[in-house]
Amino acid sequence: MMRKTYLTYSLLTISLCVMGSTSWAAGEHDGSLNDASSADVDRTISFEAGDMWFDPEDIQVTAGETIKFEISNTGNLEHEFVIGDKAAQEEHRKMMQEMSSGHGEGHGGHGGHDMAEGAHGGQMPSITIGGGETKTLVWTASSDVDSLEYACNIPGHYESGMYGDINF
Amino acid sequence: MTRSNIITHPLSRRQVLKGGAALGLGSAAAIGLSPAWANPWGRTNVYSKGVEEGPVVSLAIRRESIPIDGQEASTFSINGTSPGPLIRLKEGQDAVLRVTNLLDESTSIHWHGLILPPEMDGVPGVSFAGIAPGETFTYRFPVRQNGTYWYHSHSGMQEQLGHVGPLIIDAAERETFRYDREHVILLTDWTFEDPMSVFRNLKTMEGYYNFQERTVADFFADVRQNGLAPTAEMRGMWAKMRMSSRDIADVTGSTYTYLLNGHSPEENWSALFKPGERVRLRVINGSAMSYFDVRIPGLKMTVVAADGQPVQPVPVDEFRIGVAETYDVLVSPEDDQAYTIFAESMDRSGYARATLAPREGMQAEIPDHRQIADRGMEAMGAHGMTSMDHSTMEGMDHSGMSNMQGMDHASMEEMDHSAMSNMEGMDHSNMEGIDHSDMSGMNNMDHSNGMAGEQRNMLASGMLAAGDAQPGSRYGQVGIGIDPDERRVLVYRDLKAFRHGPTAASPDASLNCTSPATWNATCGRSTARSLAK
Repeated sequence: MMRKTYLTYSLLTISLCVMGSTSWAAGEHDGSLNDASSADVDRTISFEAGDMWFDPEDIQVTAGETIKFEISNTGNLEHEFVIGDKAAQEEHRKMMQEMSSGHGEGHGGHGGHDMAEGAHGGQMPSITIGGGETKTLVWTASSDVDSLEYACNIPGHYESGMYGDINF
Repeated sequence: MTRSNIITHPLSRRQVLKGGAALGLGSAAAIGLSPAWANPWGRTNVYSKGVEEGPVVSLAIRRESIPIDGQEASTFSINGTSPGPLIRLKEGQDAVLRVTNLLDESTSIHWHGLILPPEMDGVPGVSFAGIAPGETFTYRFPVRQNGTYWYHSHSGMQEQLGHVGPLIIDAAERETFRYDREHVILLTDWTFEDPMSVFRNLKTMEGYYNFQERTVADFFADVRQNGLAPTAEMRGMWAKMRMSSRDIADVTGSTYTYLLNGHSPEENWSALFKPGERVRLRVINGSAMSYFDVRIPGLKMTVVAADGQPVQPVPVDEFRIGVAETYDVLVSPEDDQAYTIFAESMDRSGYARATLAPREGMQAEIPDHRQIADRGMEAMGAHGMTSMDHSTMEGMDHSGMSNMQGMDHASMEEMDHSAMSNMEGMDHSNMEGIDHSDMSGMNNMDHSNGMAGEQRNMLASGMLAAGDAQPGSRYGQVGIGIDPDERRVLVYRDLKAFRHGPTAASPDASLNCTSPATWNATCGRSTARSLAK
């Protein structure tokens, strides 16, 4: 049941991305994605998120596989881990950039926790990890795409190289 | 010749693949005559004679005629080039830098931004006696940092005549970003005049090189826009101070040719990339007198380091670089097209330019000159009292200013600004009893420059929150002559370290009190404390 939900969820995500949809309906954020019981998970991948990199820098997955990501943020800054295709990541990045770059308020609000939490509409599986924290994200690889990216889209982080390829 | 010489952090498969491709192309493009950092393929030609790899480097200083912008120019050269070669050191090395003076006058090299023992700092009359003609001075110091720096003469007017060069220190550990290719972008200002006569001209007449003073035509334009009385008042105010509202730069494009890696705008030096690569530009302002506004139309630049120090990345469209500052920015050109690297002088009297392109011989559009800015009274430390516009003040919170009744601005016409010499850091937090209801005469007020920083920082008590900048500080504002609404411009407040320095933790936690270079007053105190225990 649980697994089916995630599969549907991720298929929905992918199809939305493929259509280039920008309607980011409110969706689940990290919390509920972490509750999958270990029985549903085919594989666990440990990730390290640093300032400004992910280790590993790419992963190989099989369509339909359910993966539990264990992401340790060993850096000093907050990071996010978002799965989506290149175009959707870029869209998300632009949005976060726009949210952060208001002038007139003295540039005070960059990179804050609120922004990272609230920015993306939740259509892409995502999780926000504070410095020193470890969080998990369970995700099922869809069967109708051949490449995705995982990325941190907090302004400047992707541009510094904080992303990697998911190869099918 | 391995990729690991180029990228110092652990390599990804992506980088190895791209690096391999780059090397193939790079060796094809290798000329060997120009320094490697001048090579359009970036640091792919590691055999070039123009890069001096540490830890042991020998440098010869000569007076030499080198063409600049197609004209014979009498420069100070370093190992035959001006600006000088790239000096490349590695964090953790013990650098040995031998400088031989082949001039008929004293010289020196100051390693700008490097942490080193005082006697190695290269400032004649302060840290050493200078390097006499015919003498070789050996600088020795441990390299304790990494990043983008530069070096220059600290003797006479030699720096103005090209005695400068880039200095890169490769990091011992993984950096906070990854990239596929790098280019040094060294900005300088060149004059064919004798720098001493430039100096003399300025002493004789401060606006000597300013050909952009306000004119009668400007006066009438201002009258049309602002009315006669305010215009006359502004003119009167500047006249009374005997200053110019267009005093932006002392030495301007009227004598300067602005150079990028030693090349004039017309020469159009090219930095090459392959589409899809992430390119690190190490931008250095090695000029004598000029501030530049740098942008690459069509590309976002992500600022990743300032003055050699890594900062939390900030994507921007433009940044201002002061004399001696360095910024490292990342750009990711995806398309097979040329981009203009445009460094406009702050007073808009000229620009330096290069082209970032996938092939040699390309160029992109050169942006239009912007108008020279007019300074307002905020340049004197006042808060934009000259042409105030309240329309941009949305979100300003006055709720903390509890006792504002009774301030009377009615008599502000009599205000004499001529004595406003030291008004930076003006503290408005104690403005009890202010009534703005009678501010009829203050049309055109622009608070967007002066008040932005203050509105957020005041607590309900009217006090500043600890750690906040003084009211009136302009760390959050773009520099003069830049329209913040036009594009995203870097401001100093954007520059944040990845972690706080040792001073933010316990006072003696990370102090290194073992060497003179790192010893400071806190070491003395902590030593005294441990002795007392």
